[in-house]
Amino acid sequence: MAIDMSQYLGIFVEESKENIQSLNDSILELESNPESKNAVDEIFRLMHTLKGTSATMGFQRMSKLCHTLESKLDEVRSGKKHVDESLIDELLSGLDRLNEAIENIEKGGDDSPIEKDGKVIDNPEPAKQKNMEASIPDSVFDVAKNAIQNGFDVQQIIIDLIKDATMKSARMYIVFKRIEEDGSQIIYSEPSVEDIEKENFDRRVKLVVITKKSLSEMRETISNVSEIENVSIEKFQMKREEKRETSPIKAAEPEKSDAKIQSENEKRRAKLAKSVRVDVEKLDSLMNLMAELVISRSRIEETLKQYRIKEMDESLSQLSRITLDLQSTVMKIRMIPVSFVFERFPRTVRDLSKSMNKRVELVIEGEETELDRTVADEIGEPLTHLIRNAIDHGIESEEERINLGKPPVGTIKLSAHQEGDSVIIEVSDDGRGFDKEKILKKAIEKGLIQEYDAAKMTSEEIFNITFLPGFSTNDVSTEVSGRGVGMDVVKNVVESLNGSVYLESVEKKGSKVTIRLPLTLSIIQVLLVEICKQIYAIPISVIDSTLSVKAEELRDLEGMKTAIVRNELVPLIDMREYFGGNVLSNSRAELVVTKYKGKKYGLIVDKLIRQQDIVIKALGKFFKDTKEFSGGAILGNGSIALIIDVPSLVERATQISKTALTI
Amino acid sequence: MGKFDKPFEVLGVKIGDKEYAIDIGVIGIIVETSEIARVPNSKNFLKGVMNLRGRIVPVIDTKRITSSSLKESTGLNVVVTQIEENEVGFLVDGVTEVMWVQPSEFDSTIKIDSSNYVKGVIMKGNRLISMLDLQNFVRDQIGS
Repeated sequence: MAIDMSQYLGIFVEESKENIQSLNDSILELESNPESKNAVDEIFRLMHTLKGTSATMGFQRMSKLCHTLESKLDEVRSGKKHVDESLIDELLSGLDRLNEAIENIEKGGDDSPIEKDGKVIDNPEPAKQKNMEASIPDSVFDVAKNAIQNGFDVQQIIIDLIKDATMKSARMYIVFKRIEEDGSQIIYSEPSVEDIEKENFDRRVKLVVITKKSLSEMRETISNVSEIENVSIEKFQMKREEKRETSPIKAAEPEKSDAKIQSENEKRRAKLAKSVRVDVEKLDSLMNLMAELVISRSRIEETLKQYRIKEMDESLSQLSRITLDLQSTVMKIRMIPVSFVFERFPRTVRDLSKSMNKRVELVIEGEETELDRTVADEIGEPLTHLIRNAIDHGIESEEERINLGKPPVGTIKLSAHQEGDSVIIEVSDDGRGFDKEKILKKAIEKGLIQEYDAAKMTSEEIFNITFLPGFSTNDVSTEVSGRGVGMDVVKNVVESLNGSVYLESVEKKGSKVTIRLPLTLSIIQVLLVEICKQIYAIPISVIDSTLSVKAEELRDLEGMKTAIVRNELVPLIDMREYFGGNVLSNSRAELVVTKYKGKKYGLIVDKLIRQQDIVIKALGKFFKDTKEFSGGAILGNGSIALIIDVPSLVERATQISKTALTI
Repeated sequence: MGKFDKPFEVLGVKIGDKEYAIDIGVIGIIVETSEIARVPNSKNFLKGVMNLRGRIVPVIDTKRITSSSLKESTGLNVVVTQIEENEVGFLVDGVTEVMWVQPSEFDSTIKIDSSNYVKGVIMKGNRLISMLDLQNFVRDQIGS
């Protein structure tokens, strides 16, 4: 049996993780809306599922813990207990332990982490009620009551078919038939018999049965039907009446809304069942193959151009269309909604604000925005850091906020949206903002900038100091943030993903960090240029414009070449010089104007070639110190174009010209 | 000595006017030099990168890691090695032959090339061939 189960372990872990996350959401919802019957029901449902699956897999401790938590909620449902903070804390801490257990199981262990502190478990009181009764019509209870009075037994049976079961309605038909064969009677089924016949259900069927059989006899009857994963049978609980008496208002709630929630849940489950879990590695290799295909296609295209075979034109353009479609499909497969990253933050904010005695509300927007899986995996940590920062340094204490005439509860907004080929993620708060003077003072103290530079720095430049390594404005580092790592970590991660980060702040009003990330990592659009007889690629995403200027229009200003582009003085980097080649004295210079941190920088190149989609490939460890290039790309003719990393290039080039000045 | 108490196989290569040997175990493929893209502002022993069947492979100017004469080399071949998951190309002026070396033909105490990445001399008749230690080179460069 144990060996049999092991093949389901992966699915169990995945499902449990999903359930734990949904539980987390529902518990937080319950906290903000303690009267929500739906939230209680949902928690109940999830907890019950988790209890069932963990028991099936033989993780008794998990199952027991779920059971205990379930009973706690039961008291709420029956009106014995109200939702209060201690209950929420208890639920959350129980959830944490379930999570620990799952993580341990994932690593090949068991559910023993739960044992460490058995506080919540040692409540052996059995669950009184199951989720299902919420939607059971009163008539069923009446029938059940009668049956019991007449010496029958009433049992509640929950049957889970295995995932991807075939002929579900037929299976259920067999179950129904077996139950009813020897005189037992099904008085209620959820979903309805009609829905079951139409296969209009997912995997779970709940039944209420009047029978003379014992629980184990009933189990025997059902469990040898094939494709059934799990059968749980217990005595039907008649608690409904008691509840109706204690809280008549709740019972009077329209049944409709419950039914609606139920059907929504089912829809969601149905959707989950249709998806396939794929190993990320397989996706990566698919992406690589895709990349090879793109390269081969443009190679064929280029070769055929030389021969001008008319008959090839159509098939070639079809090939192009197919590869393009394939490319976008593969890219879409890799995309996941940003909620994957965001969903952990309500809990983070709750815990942090509580530990710091601040009242903070988290507003999340645009969580359906999609981004590349790799980006999503990496961006969680920097976002956590920014949110910590906002709570710790940004949001003031409640009294302070009241004194300032601000709402007593601080707001942190986390939003995402797509803008062209980028995804923008913003973290903003309505706290005290960044104090420019303080930043400057600290920066000078730490030797990050010189005092005489400070006077002429713009606000933007000042705020960007916070991204330098080893910078933290808080004098006392708290438990939460200020542990030596800071905004520089955020910047590093974002830049390693080919993104950029930008800080805006208004003193006393709040601050906003904007992170711009590429939609996908491996295929980008670039402008190919020629510098000293070699081809380089500049990502379109950083290009503002291109233009050609007369040589005499270039000016030397404080050791740096500049040109006037649309009434704006733009510093120039002569790429020919920078890449160590010979500067041919042309009468004209080709400029690629790029944007970096809201400023423009012109790159002088020899020739503009064309725009092209390219596949980024890493240059490898030998070039890790050559930050000017984010990678290379193989062009149609087999030659390699290096991809210029404009932010690093600008940083380096401006540094060189600055040191040249001071010398 | 350890490794060298048994006969071992090497590839002889020309760098400038001298002959060197590369352990055959690390060699994946030898190709004729195609176009090498120079990578500006990289270390001086890096000739650049080349396209090897759709992969970007760094190419080392082997001359720069030996104390060979600095005479302009022709760089006819690239010996592509696989060292600890890294595919690294070494530019050489030519390939001589694959040969078996008897333990008695190898002396790790003599060096006719003062480079850190030469670990001894192979004596074949009157030929003196410096044995290159490319693993060590790659480890040093990637580790640092």
